[in-house]
Amino acid sequence: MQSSLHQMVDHLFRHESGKMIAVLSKLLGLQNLQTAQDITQDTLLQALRTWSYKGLPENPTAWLYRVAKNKAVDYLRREKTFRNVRTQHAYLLQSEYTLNPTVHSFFEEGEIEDSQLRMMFACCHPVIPVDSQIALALKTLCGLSGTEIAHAFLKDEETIAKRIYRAKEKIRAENMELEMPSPAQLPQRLDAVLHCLYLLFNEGYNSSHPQQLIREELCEEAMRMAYMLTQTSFTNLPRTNALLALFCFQASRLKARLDEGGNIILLKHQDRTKWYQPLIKKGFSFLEEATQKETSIYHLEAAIAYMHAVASSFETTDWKAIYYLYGILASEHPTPFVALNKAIAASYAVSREAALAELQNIKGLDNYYLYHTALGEIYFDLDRRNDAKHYYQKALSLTRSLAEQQLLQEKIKACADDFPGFSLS
Amino acid sequence: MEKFMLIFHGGIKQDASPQDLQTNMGKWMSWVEKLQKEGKYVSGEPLLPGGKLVSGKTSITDGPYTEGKEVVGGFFVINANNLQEAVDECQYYPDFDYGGQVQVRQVMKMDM
Repeated sequence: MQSSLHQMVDHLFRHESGKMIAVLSKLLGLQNLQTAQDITQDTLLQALRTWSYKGLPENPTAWLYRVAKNKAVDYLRREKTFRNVRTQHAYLLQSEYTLNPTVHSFFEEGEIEDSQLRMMFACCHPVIPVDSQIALALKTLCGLSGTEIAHAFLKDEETIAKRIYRAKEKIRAENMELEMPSPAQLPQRLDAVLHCLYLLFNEGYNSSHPQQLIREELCEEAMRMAYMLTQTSFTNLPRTNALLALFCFQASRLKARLDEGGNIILLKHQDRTKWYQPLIKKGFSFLEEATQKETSIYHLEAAIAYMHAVASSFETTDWKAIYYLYGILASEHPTPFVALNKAIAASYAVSREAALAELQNIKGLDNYYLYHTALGEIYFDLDRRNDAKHYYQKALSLTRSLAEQQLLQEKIKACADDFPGFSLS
Repeated sequence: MEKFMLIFHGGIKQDASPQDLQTNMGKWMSWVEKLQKEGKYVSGEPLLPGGKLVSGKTSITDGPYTEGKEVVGGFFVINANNLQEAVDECQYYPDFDYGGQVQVRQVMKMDM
């Protein structure tokens, strides 16, 4: 059946839900986050009932805001609940003369963005554990339900509910409000937000999820929020642009990474004509915006992703430059993951033996399937098939992604193909 | 042509995610559109939850049903040739997945 939903923007409810929760939280105070969420849900339910039977209103967004505003006014009038509101503008909510105009003013265009930005800083407040930050951001800013978040992260709903609960507890305990950080705090607070978005995107891009669908949405949400940050001078710093550039370059390959059967296609074998050029161009323009004064780790990662994006083939990739960039990244941000990528780059830029030595020096990735996959690859290329098989099997036992499992099974089979049981080592 | 009333009981949960609500709404809108295109749609109204049950001047209680799958969420009046055709139309009812049910009733004709 054809649907008039086609007329509607994708994810209208989800995104408007995020906006309404942010606006209502600013109006009622972050301490009343639950009320803001309840009013938003009520508004969507009313839209569902009305639109289902009567069709779409002319301006769906304006319709939602009008209903949300009315519900907020009703809430504030009822039993004088304005007493629960402790924000600076609370006194404006007490009198009938100022109540309506005040509520109205919070729903104006610039104000909505401002509310979302504040909400981003609140969700990613350093006192909230990072896991909880991501869950809270997805719930309040992106309008995902606990079930959807649980699905996306392959966790049970209870775990996600706990994470969100912990975040809300912190908000209460710390008496947090929806405030913009002071100029002095800004760099550090923005870093926390960017880090949260980075993790969110990564979860989407390299997720352990057996299915593809949900993870792309995580990437989209991370990009949407990063883009929002570039649209305000306050948060539009070079590192914000670098992060968004990185997202664009990575996301340009999303469509080329899987075949029709949902199997992963390695960078080496990807059809580069499927890389989405408009996103690469966008990424490049964000990267240009980013090249002022500072260099963040996002700059380095974006530069590496850019080297891949502009290479016309795997063979002509400038591996030496990539290896060099990973070298800087590894000294600025020494994590085992960076070391792993540096080692992989070494196998093309230097030699397989050098790569193997680097891999063997990495500590702390014993439970990470890509580490074992990389070892398997190197051994395979060195024609040490038995060793390769060993590491592929180890990797296979560590990944839950169906596509990754399939890929590894093929590799294990290939180990036996030519010289069964024979190793050159 | 006869008229039938489709009465919808239960359906999507109050705490469904925004995306689920939107998807569900899309299905409802497509169904209404389809019925309108085929000239079968007569009218329809959603009902707010809650309400009162009046069983005498002094007996007014909440209900009849305020929660669960008995709650009537709304109704359509449609044109169909016979009961079977009206029942067949219910295959497009979007809320079966949420445990919803449709009561199909023929509207009595006031023939003189």
